[in-house]
Amino acid sequence: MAASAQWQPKEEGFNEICGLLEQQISHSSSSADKSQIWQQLQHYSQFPDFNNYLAFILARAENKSVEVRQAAGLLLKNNLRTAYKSMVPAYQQYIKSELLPCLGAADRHIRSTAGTIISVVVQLGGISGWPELLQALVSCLDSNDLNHMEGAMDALSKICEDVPQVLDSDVPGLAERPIDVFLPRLFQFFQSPHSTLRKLSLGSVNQYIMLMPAALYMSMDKYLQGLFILANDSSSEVRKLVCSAFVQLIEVRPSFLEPHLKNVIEYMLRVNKDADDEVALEACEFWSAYCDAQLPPENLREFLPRLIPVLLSNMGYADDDESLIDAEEDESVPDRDQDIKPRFHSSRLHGSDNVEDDDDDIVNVWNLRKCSAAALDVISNVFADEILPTLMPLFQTNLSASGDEAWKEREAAVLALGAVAEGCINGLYPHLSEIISFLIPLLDDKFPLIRSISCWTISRFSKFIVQGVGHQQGYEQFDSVLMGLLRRILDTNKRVQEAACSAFATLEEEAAEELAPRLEIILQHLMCAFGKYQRRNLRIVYDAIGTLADAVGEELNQPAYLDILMPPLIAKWQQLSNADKDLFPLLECFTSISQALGTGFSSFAEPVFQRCINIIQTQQLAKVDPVSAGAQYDKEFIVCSLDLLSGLAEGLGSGIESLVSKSNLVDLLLQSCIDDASDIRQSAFALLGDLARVCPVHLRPRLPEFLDVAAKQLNTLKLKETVSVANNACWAIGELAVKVRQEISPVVMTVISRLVPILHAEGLNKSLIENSAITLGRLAWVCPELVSPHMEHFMQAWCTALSMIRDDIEKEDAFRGLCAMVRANPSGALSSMVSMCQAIASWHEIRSEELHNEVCQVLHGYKLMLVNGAWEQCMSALDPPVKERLSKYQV
Amino acid sequence: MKTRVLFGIDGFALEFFWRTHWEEESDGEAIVDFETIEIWGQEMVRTPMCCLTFQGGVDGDFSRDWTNEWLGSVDLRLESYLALPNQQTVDYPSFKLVIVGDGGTGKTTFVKRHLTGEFEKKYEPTIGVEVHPLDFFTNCGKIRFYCWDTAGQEKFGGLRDGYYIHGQCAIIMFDVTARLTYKNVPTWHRDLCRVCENIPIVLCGNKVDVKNRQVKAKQVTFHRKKNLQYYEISAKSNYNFEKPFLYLARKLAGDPNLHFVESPALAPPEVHIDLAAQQLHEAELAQAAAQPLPDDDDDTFE
Repeated sequence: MAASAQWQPKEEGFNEICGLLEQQISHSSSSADKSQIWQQLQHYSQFPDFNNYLAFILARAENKSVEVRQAAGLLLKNNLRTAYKSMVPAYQQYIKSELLPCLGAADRHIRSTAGTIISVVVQLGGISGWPELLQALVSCLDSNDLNHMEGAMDALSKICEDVPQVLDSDVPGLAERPIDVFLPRLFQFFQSPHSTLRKLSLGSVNQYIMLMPAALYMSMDKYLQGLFILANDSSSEVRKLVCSAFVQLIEVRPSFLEPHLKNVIEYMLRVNKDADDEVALEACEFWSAYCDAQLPPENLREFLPRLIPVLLSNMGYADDDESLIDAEEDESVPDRDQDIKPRFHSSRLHGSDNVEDDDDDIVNVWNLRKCSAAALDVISNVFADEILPTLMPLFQTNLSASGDEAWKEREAAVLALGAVAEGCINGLYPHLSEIISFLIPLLDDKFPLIRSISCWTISRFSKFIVQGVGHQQGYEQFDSVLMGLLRRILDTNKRVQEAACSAFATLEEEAAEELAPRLEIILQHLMCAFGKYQRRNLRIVYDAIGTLADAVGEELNQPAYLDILMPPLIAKWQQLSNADKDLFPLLECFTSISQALGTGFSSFAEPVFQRCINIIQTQQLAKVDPVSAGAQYDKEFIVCSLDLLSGLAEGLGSGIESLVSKSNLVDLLLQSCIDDASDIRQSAFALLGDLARVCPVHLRPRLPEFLDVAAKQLNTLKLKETVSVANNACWAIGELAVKVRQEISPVVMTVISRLVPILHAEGLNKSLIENSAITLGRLAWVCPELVSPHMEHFMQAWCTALSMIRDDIEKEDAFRGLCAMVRANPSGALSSMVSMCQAIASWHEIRSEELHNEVCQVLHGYKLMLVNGAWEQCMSALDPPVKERLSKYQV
Repeated sequence: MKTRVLFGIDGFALEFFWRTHWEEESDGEAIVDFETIEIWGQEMVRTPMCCLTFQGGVDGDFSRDWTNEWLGSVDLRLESYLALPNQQTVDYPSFKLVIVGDGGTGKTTFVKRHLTGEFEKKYEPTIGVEVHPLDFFTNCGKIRFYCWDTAGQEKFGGLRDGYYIHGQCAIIMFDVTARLTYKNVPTWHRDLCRVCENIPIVLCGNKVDVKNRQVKAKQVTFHRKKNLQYYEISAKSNYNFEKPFLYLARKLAGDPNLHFVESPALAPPEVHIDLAAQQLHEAELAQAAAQPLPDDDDDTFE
């Protein structure tokens, strides 16, 4: 204490530090100056009492500007984070003693800075390390002087935000926990005439909803009472905090609100229309929170007739919504680089689960409109058709609101209908055809945002629209929706084009071959859009073409259609240089088309094939020598090209053989299989598998090398990062095995020794496990004499994996392997009879008669082999449905 | 009584916005004396006395943020107050913009897209702070953001939140390929709000040009709780470069219809599009558009 009483700043140091701080925060000094000044400041910070100076400047430098004092305080706070604990106690004491008087400083910025520092000191040293603080806070809060009350409240609120738990813990020497002392005072401030105090005190108590200390639990009534008193506060910030308290309470402690639920809902309903948008937005969160908390819906039910109109009216575009301005942009304005969102090609994956879901459609804008629509969506999921009697008349009234100025209401009505499309589908169903007839004319509305929202809402009913095509009326409606969307694809407004393309893609996926009769006109529209779109939407049109190809498949393979579709794409294809990233969506689009057309693609295949080879070659060169390649390396080019080649192999089948034989594809592929980029390897092994299927003969010369690199991918240690590569490599090995038969034998044991740990691993991706099981089976089929001696090590896990796979050709191969092994080593399966029976029972139906018979033989063999009740014992371990299924095999 | 006042300039007219708290002691028409005036957050050299008359609509609630409220007009000679201390001034509105976020999230690169035209692939940590003036042209005239590009790395932090003083708007940056940088956003936001109350803030998720992102768009929810605007950006491809500035300019001017009339000179994205190919492409588009397709007219199918 003596030391701190004696510490005094030296004038020179004081002035110097103030000067440096001033320069640090001023606009004028250049960046170079700033870092030099910072170095000088760092120099001073070597002095052990530097932080004392900072405290002194904050607390006492009345002749300096507030900014300098504030900067000194903030720097002090930052220094304390690292230095406080190692500081001599006398200096700690000095700093603390300088901070406390700042709580009542005349300048708000000084008070607030002190509060920020105090909270950090409490984080570092705890409450017990600073007994004077509690006393000071209490006396300031009780002082009735606004500055003192506000300063203390500011510090307290920061402690509550940063380290709420320290106030709810026992402090040596104190009879009560600090929160017990503060809580009554906080409640008292709820009624302060000063809005700052009301805001800070309420904010502080709200911090404890999650923690729920005993003190708050005991005074819950008082808290709720306080909330109701503040509910109509003149300060919007206070009202916002009231809403946030109710939202948090309903989320974490709904039982507290239950007795008051009617009042709370009534209030929330009212503030959803608060003049302040932020209050309304906070209040709007209540409805989703209520539904998510799974409270009894009855309590909300009676309010629905009032709530739904409120939500609907809040769904109208606010005047400052960015969409309003964005929607004014004309189609002729070219897109800039900054308008184009980076987009990625995902490498081909052979298997059942999709690795990543598409992030593209997520829109992160959050405002009252979005929040209200989300609330309506959630409510429609809870109450379903019950909300329709309220919603439908509103929908009709709003839609018939005439006049330009009412367009936002009409738009919101259409949005609302889309929002409840899932939740209320049953109730809407009988009226859907009428509703859709209502929506179709809106596709041609004068207002672009009505046109775009109508596209979206209509697409939400795609399933219904497509279901109806069987009858005359339904087909007519389907057709007018289709034509309406196609018209919008050619809209002059970019946002409408975008909405129409994405609505059309949804309809395409649902309609699939139903689109066939209309293919010509669809293609005409898409290709017209292709000709006129700016860059951003052009990508969407590629997607729409790709989706169309996937949806209609070989229906597309007709000269009349290809005449419309192919020339513009080929023209574009020829125009783009090998280094142009705009090639990516085009390569993807061709991949879908070639798969859809099958052999019909042959006439286009050669230049496409050759181009892919060139791109891969150029990029492999660019990787080591961009100058002589004349291109900058971007692995995405290789990935897209490999995938397109896979698409060609899949589409053309053995028709690709002549192209492969004339090219150096096999060498390039091998190169790609050892690339260091995992997405290149992923696509390379997918192509390896596809080529193995259609033209294994060309792979033969490099077979040992392919098998060697493929086996390396299965290294279990690295699986986590490259699971998709391993997945494709594993599948490719299996495809090769069934084609080259005995030639696979040199790697069989290496591969098996890597597959077995995968089958036993926990938490690996499903697709990899399935592919491993298939490949193991295929190897066993081809080389049973090599694999069967090791059966005991994997039968159990392997059979479990097999039983998860759905019926297909690959599964048949695996079971051929099972039968072959059992023949070679019957005792190898004895310890896993139950799993084996379960795997066999997982077949819905074995299509191959020969395999079916083999499986019968296997079962019968074991029945004969297992004597003395062992067979019966095994059967009794099986579930009745499993036994039922085995009866097909006459056992 | 000291208060902070924010002026906006529209042509030569002077608009006047209230900034912070006011004592609740007036009803109806109020006359208020200023001892100090700040313009763009800078305290004025002189301390003029002036008075302000509320023009109705003021209901005695002085505690709210008036940033975007038109209150009334002040009879002031603007020129005499534009001479701010320590600032090379420009004769158009300028704002202090603070850019914060973890180290390596791309704050410096983002700012430099506008300035020097070089996308910095190599990473050099910012020491303390660098201030860059960035000009934008709006339909209401030119505006300037003094971008305070602060150090993200703790060891180079300098004054850290000391640099936020008098910040009028802010960008919080994180990196969508590094989860931790998003987890730290609440801390940056808290520190910012403790120094600058009620300023418009944009949250930016940078590096959306990288394939394997760790923070998916649907995982970004912080902005919902705190009423921030959120944009995904790529300092590498320039994607959404203008959006954060445009949002802040609209908020600061209180005009949702404000727009940029010419794009600032941006550094080209990392890969240049082949110009010849581009021209060919455009010619082809024009040609395709000119072709007589059967469905040029919306009404054909009616």
